[in-house]
Amino acid sequence: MTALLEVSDLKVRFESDNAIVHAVNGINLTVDMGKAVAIVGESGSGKSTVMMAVMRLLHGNARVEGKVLLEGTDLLQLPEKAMQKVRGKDIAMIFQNPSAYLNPTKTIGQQMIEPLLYHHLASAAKAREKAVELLDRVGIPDPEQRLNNYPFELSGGQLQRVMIGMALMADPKLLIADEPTTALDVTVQAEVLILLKRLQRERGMGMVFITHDLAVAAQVADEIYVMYGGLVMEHLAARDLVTGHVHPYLCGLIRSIPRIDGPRADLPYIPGQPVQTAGGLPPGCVFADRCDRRFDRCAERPPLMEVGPGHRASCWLVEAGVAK
Amino acid sequence: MIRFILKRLLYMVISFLVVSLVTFFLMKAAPGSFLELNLQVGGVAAAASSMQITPQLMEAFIKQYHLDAPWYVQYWSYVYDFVTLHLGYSMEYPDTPTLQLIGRTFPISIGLAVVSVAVAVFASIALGILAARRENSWADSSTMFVATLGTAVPAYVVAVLLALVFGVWLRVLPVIGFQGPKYYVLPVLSLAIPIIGSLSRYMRNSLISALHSEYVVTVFAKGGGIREVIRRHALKNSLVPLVTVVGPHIAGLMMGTVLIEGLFGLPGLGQVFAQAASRRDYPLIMDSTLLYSVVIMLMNLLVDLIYGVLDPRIRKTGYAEGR
Repeated sequence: MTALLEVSDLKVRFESDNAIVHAVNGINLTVDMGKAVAIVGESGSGKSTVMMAVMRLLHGNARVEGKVLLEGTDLLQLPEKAMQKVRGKDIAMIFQNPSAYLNPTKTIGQQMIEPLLYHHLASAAKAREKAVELLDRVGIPDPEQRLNNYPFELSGGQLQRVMIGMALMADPKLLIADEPTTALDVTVQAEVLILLKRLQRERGMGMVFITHDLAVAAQVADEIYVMYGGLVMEHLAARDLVTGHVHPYLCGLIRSIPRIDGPRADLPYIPGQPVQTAGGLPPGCVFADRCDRRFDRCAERPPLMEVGPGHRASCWLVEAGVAK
Repeated sequence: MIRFILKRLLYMVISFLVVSLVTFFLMKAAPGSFLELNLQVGGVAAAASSMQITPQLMEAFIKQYHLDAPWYVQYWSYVYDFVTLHLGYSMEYPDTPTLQLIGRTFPISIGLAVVSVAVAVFASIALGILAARRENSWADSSTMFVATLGTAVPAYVVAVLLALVFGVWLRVLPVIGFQGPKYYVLPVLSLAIPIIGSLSRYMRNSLISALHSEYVVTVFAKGGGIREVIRRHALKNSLVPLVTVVGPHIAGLMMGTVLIEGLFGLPGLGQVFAQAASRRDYPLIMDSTLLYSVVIMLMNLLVDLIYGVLDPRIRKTGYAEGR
């Protein structure tokens, strides 16, 4: 299998007047052609920053290092003009809150046709035809009419469908979905997830799905990357998530999911605060001060170590062979 | 939309009545009258002789202007005559019908105001874009520094300065009179520069906040560049806050024309108005004030309608009540 996207040793720092935030601290991530990958992490774990760095959409105060290979081309080395040709055409992106990420004063149609216009792929009339077709595909009834509507006239779930349709306008090879269902209510969330998964399969498109919800990740993705403090803690196949996880952080996360048939007891949680990425990281394992299985080895930062085929974790317990 | 306009028109009628009442009483409260000023001492006969007319004619004059009638009759005759366009003759210009006088002078004033607003708005948009595109660079801060200077200096100082530089030193532009478009340049600049000062700062801030909004990220993610972002998205959205501040400027501008017309000797309504006020030419004071108030109210209505053009949420879900 060939890699569509290969991120290696990606580091992102934000420099502000009073502190340097180490948001991403050396991430390796591969998305194979036609596969879906989920990045899971809590707020501030750097999960969105990784993908914004891939798209080169971070603000001017961000310092990005490493390599982002899209089919062998390093996106970080491209001049801005060439990068513009990649965005929206090779890689498309959808965002968390569709009503904020759509321009309130332009119609759905005007906004949907833009990817094709920017890349000179079709005339406005042809692009509108394609927009109607895609709105139909993403399950918007009466698509011709909807093109003339403004975002405030549609519901949140419909807007996210519009965003998905818009992202697919130029037939991208890779779709980045940054918490696309977080702002939607639960029933709509499920519909949008199923839609995304179906479209990704049908089109043989690569997908990176960013979420804080392990259940959503397991549902959508083939592989899962669990991030903490700007580092990958564990990388495993989605089917191994519940039974095969080894990292104490992931164990803690999974333990804290309530069971529908379980006893009514206090939910276990991970004590402490998420690691501070402003200033600098602790020298050892970033999770050590919240870890209940900490030992002296943890003063040194563990690399990602092979647990099994397609399964790696960044924890000394793996080396010690006592994980899980 | 129709309801909004009807409602606004009703408000305008009410404001019109208030403005006319206030003007009427202020005018009456001002010491001296047209007759007294022509005479120094009161008396119909004396006034008549000083104006070299017969006392009979003077009586007729008083009758014509209802000067002996109760206040409400006087007030109502002014308002009614204005609304029905039966303006008659004023005291100061008994040979020229007031309608003709206004017809001759008003276009010069309104032209000055409209051209100044247009110049100010377009210049502010251009400067705002220039500064916002290079947020926090030297180009941004120096543009905004000059803009602050423009705001700080009042129109009449700008006018004198411009007249000195372009009229006296460089001798490239006329500084007095009105014989063609060239005579508009300095008055328009004097009125526009202070407005550009404040509007361009507004434009910059509003465009910067538009550029920082989330839908702009989407435009970039679709493959757009900064040009597409500004031209197709951010510019239009940043105009809404700008329009909000243009409205009040228009009212200020109408007053500005009075001053600037005087300075540059433009034969506009502003000058006629100022003169009428100092000569206590009652009918002319009322007519020109009422005309100014109607123009200002219409311009504000126009500004409010522009909101709807810019923002579909206002257009489709109804205009804000009673702005």
